[in-house]
Amino acid sequence: MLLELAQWLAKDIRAFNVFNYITLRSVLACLTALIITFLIGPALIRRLTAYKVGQAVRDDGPRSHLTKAGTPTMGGALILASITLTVLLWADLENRLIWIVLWVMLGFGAIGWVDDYRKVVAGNPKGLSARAKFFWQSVIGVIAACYLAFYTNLPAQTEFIVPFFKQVAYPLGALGFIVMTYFVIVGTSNAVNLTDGLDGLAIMPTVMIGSALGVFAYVAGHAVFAKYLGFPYIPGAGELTVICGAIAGAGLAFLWFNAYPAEVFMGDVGALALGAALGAIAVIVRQEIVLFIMGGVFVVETLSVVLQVASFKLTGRRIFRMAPLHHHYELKGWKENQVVVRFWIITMMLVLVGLSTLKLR
Amino acid sequence: MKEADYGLVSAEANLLGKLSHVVFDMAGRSQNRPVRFWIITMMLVLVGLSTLKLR
Repeated sequence: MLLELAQWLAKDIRAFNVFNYITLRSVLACLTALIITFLIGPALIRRLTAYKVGQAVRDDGPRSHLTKAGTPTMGGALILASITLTVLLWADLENRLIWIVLWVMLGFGAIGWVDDYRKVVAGNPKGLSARAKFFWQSVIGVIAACYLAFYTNLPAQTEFIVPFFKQVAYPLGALGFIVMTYFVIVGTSNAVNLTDGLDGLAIMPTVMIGSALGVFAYVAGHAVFAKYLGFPYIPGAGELTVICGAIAGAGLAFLWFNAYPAEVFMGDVGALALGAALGAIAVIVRQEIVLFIMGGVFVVETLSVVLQVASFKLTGRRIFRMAPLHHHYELKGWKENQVVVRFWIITMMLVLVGLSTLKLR
Repeated sequence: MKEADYGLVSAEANLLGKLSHVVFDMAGRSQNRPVRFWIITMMLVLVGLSTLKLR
């Protein structure tokens, strides 16, 4: 909205043309989301505490987590509100890619909201059934995938790009693209949700990966940079940098309240939505493998659950002391803070590896 | 941090006009919140980086 206002004002005052730059709007989006979250955060935490929207702690989890019982949850709604408002303010609302990412993020957020609401407000410990959750995730993922598949302008928009190789790109076709998009969006969403088990563990990697995807979006949407770096040019993808800026800003401000010892948890409403948004952005800028690399912590956390369940069902023995992986390290004696910061450090390194694919190809 | 160490740091802080993180520590904020100082630094880095373009 502010972009349109600036363009209208620029007819008389040329200085307002500066708002046409995506880089400036991305920085402003980051700061706007940060300020909104900082301003609303304390009031929301007080309100959630007053309404007793407290997290239920799994009774089979580490004993040290019992002290977290009652900490307000559903703080992810704050992140989503902040990102959405910021994007409506700073992004070009005629760009359809912006609306797809918003659709995916808010759709998955709604699923998480219902799940959280049933668990902590309605008092149903099971929340939304796994089948219902997966069904609605699939509906939203498939709609987004079909829209992206059938409204592409260039073949490059549906190619499977292999990082580190300039010439290697496989055309997926419409069906292949839809399947790939679906798995990336739903997979990332659930992976972030599984990782969200310690204070600040999920949000900081989300901020880092979101910021890095912003760089990829900017390059993919810039004809000159895309050509220079050997990336497929995707018209309109640059605008996603604004969403990435908003994710980074809102995420950082949320971390202020979510850092150990957390005053609020994001809940499924935040984790599912942010994961899905990262997946959608990665698909649009054709960087699924890079997302897989940068989100290595999310991937390993998910794999630990899969392996643990498979091993227990097949052999009756557990591979890890507890799954997801962060609980395994806690039971090995690492302090919660150590697990969190070490996983952040690993993500930083992986993001660096991911960013290196910009040039190393 | 041990209690004895904490006293030492407090005394040093008084001499130095109190380091900001010690002030927060003494005000009862959790010692486990260095993350907030990191967030402030990240925001300042962002402002610094924005000077690449905003000129």
